Amino acid sequence: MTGTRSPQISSVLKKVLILCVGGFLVAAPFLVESFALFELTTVLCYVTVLIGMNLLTGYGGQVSLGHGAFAALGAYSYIVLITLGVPFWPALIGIGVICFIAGFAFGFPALRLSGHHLALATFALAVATPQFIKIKAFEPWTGGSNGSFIPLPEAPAWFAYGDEAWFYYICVGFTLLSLIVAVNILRGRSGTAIRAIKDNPTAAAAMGIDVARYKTLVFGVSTTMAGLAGAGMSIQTQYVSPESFTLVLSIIFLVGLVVGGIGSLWGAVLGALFLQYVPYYTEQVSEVAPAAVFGALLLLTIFFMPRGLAGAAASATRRLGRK
Amino acid sequence: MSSGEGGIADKVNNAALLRISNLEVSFGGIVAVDNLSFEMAPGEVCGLIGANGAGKTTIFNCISRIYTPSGGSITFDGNNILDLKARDMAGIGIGRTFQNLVLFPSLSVRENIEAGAHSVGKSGFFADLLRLPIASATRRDIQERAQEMIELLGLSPIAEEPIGSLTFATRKRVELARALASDPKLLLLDEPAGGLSHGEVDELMERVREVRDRFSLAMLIVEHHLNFVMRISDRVVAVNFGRKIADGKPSEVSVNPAVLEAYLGTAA
Ligand SMILES: Nc1ncnc2c1ncn2[C@@H]1O[C@H](COP(=O)(O)OP(=O)(O)OP(=O)(O)O)[C@@H](O)[C@H]1O
Ligand SMILES: [Mg+2]
Repeated sequence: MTGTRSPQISSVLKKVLILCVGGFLVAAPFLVESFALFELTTVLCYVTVLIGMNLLTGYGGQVSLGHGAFAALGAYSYIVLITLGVPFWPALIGIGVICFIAGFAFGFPALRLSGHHLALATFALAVATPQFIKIKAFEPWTGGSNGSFIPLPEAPAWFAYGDEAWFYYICVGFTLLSLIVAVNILRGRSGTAIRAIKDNPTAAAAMGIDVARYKTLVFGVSTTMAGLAGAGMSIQTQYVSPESFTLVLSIIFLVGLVVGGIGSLWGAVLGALFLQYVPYYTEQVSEVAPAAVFGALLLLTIFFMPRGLAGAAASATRRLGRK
Repeated sequence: MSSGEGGIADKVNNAALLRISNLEVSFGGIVAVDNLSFEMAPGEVCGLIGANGAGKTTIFNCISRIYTPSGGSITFDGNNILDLKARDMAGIGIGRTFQNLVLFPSLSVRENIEAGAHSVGKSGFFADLLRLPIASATRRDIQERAQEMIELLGLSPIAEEPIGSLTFATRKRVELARALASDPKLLLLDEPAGGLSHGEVDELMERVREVRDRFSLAMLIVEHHLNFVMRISDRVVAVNFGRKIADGKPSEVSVNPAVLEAYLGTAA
């Protein structure tokens, strides 16, 4: 009895939740103030990165400490493309292509690295990124350490609610697209293959799974998402500098992944909300040491919710369904 | 068929599904497989016996291309296996289980078996990503195939369970189902009865017979449980220190003096 009821309840709950979230996302520009919309846009960018990292790490088992580097690649690709006179939409597609190729290519040496070696290699990438951006020869494009201004894309004439709301909807668009892509990959035979590879690559190969191909493709998909999000974040702040993409950003992504819940797409959403809103509250608790409070919360999450917020929420709804 | 020409020997040879010739494998100084040759016909059940460390698993790992032999050749169904990679084996029709049970722990029973059916599908990564019609068709084929295997091996009641919650014997059945899901022409079973109780071994025997009759596939079975091998096999190959010491009907091999000395002697 209870066994048949619980999945129903949780699927109804899921539908209600999706409707609420969807409705809110559409209505947000009319409901909230401009600063809150700005925050929401950041949340969407985080969600996009975390979906990609979940595919890569949560489902695929490849750990990356360097997704901030691919976010930087996305942001600076955008600047270069725009400077070259490429219009907004083709530039957005261009970012996707560039970051996919970069991630896919990085995926090949990554194949030779297992576990913490891969983590170290991606870590190195994240460390090198700000230095790399500061290279003198690139200054005409990047603005060097002074950074560079980025214009918000102009809303088309038929859109009457301003450039900020327009860009917000664009971010809703690529976040949804990332989500759909992730769901599609995971439900098909590719998804089973990716998860099997994480558990045991030798056995996966014996099942006919092309381990190298899936690993590199997933790497590319996840860096595409990171690149789009990186561009999104810089466009909405209308400014980018090497300091936007330090190692800290990569670590923040990883924290979002772990706290949200590894191996769950809902976890990407919860992790993004955590990253955006929890630091504010921690600042209220202690103005002196928000980072310490943040760190303590992180530790508590890891100890008491090893499957992250999404895992905790899932078992809570399961319990609810049984009652 | 009725030809009395000189090509008969060739025909017999061509009829072999698997042909291993002069296989050599060494690890550092250890010769694990030493100039070993044997053949299997389609649909044949062949037992592979030998003491611990005789090289049986190494032979399996060569056939499934996890190892690359230092010499010799392996052909299967017209393919030179040594030209191919481990991931190609399922596609050409070789399925296997592992001596020490290698399932995917974060996948459910059903998903493990679906992973086994990977090579049945055709949709690529981007077709899946875009949910093209071929992705959905492939998904259906794989799900059907997995469901068939689940029913065949009596796994329906536990199909949605994670692997971690299952008994050892059930896990072995899941692994068998996963290997069968790729629709192999040759199934390699590495100690299918290992670690099972008497009752479970009898049940396994029934299942293996059922599988064989239903799919008429060839099986190469490594097993220390001699009663099991001798009863299920059409033919038995015995190896010792990587060398073949006997090859024939179970009744012949079980009384072969070299086998008795090298294997049965020590096992008794
Ligand atoms: N990867 C490897 N590296 C080094 N030596 C190996 C490796 N694999 C197997 N060997 C050695 O090769 C020999 C044959 O091993 P193998 O596992 O094939 O034996 P087996 O017949 O399957 O034995 P068992 O009945 O115990 O499973 C052994 O001496 C073993 O130590
Ligand atoms: Mg062995």
